Amino acid sequence: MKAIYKFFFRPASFRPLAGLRIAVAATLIAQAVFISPEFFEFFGRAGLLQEGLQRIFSEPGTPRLAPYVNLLGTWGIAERTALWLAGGAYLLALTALLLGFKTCVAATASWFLHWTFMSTAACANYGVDVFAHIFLFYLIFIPSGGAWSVDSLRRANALRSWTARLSLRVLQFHLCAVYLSSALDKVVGPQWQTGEVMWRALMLPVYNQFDFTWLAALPWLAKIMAWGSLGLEFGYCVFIWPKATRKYVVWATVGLHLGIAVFLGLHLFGVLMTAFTATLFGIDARATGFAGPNVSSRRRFSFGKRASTVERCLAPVRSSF
Amino acid sequence: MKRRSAKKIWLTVGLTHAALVLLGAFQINLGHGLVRELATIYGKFSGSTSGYAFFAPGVGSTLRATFNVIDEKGAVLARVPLEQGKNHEADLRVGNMIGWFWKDNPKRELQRSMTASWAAKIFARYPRAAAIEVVLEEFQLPDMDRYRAGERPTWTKYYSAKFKKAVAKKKEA
Repeated sequence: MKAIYKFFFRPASFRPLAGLRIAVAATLIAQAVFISPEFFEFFGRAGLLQEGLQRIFSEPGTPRLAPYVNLLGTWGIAERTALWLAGGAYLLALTALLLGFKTCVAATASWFLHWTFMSTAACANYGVDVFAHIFLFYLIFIPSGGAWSVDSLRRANALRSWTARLSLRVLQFHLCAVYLSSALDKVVGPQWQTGEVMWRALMLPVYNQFDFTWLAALPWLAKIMAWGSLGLEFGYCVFIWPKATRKYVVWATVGLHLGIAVFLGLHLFGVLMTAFTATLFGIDARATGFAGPNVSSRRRFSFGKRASTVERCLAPVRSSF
Repeated sequence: MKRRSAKKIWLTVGLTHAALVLLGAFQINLGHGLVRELATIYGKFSGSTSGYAFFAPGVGSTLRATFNVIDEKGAVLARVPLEQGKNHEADLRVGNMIGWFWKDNPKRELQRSMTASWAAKIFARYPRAAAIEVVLEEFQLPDMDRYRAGERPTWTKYYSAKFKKAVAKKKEA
């Protein structure tokens, strides 16, 4: 029982969460810069998919840009101006998140605006958007502004907290679920069993970056690559936990995702997935210094000067308990 | 006491969230009713009910969209892709958009609307165009055995449609 308690509540450093915050924000800023030349093509009502089609493809009950553009239109603001304003607000929110300035507010704004853009151009999305949406949501609640942030510079934050540990555990568990479910979905596929999946992924024009025609002469290599990926994904949720094997799994996972980034051209997806494992399992969660909420009963749950971002954000919620 | 309660509450929240992550990851259906509705709504907000079957159970084929820009005399002025080649990320997303043309067997009417929308963009890029022919081709990749035996990848026509500028009349292939 004590071990379980320690597993979930032993005070942890904010650094892994801060690393995650910086990685997610930096990746999404890069994505925004890459997309910007075709901004209106993806999100404009007269873009590649006109407004009616945008509505068909977006999931019901999700926010879209059209109602906001229509609202501003009634005040005489042109669609292009409205879209630039939304895009500017998104970049501003991501920059604040990157810097850890008003982290909770920045994360909330980034999450909502990212969701809105994602839902507006739903059929252009891929894995990177799914993961960005998930982890931006986490960033609203986790104390990611507790380190490497403007917020932590402005306040004398604790170096570690049980909120950081609990957040870290939920995020780590999520990553394990991602890899295990992904492996189970893949292993039943004949392409994965024969290694044909590697050949197809590397040769399809949408992913093809280099000449891989030589792989056809080495089917055993394709098979090793496929089973190696499956082995890593299956082993992830087990071997990422013991200290003795963790660093090997972290490095192997980083290698896998950087390989995806370089050889399949999924640059942002590869970088983001690399960042998840590298920050949540690669950054040491132990921290020296005072333990914040553990230090004294007065500090334990007082949302005073030393409160982390999440504690301040959730103060109204907690006060109701 | 207050701190202990807070820990219990946040652990419950975290574990409930984690349970939803598991249900989503393994695509376990919660059946019908209020719990499912609430989980669906929460899943939309948090992404917790997302699946992660990328490249699973295998890698399918791919479509490309090409546009023949035709002038008033019927001559082909240019043959252009939908992707503008500004950068890989933008092109990748346009490629994903094209992929929806055949995803989940959409209705013919929806496919027509998609090609019309794309053709409109090409008309905007080529003001001199009198007509645009949209051609969607599927990439046929032989497996490794057949490739070694000499077979090579080809593009085969999957769909085509022609749009005229003055009259929004279209002929389907």
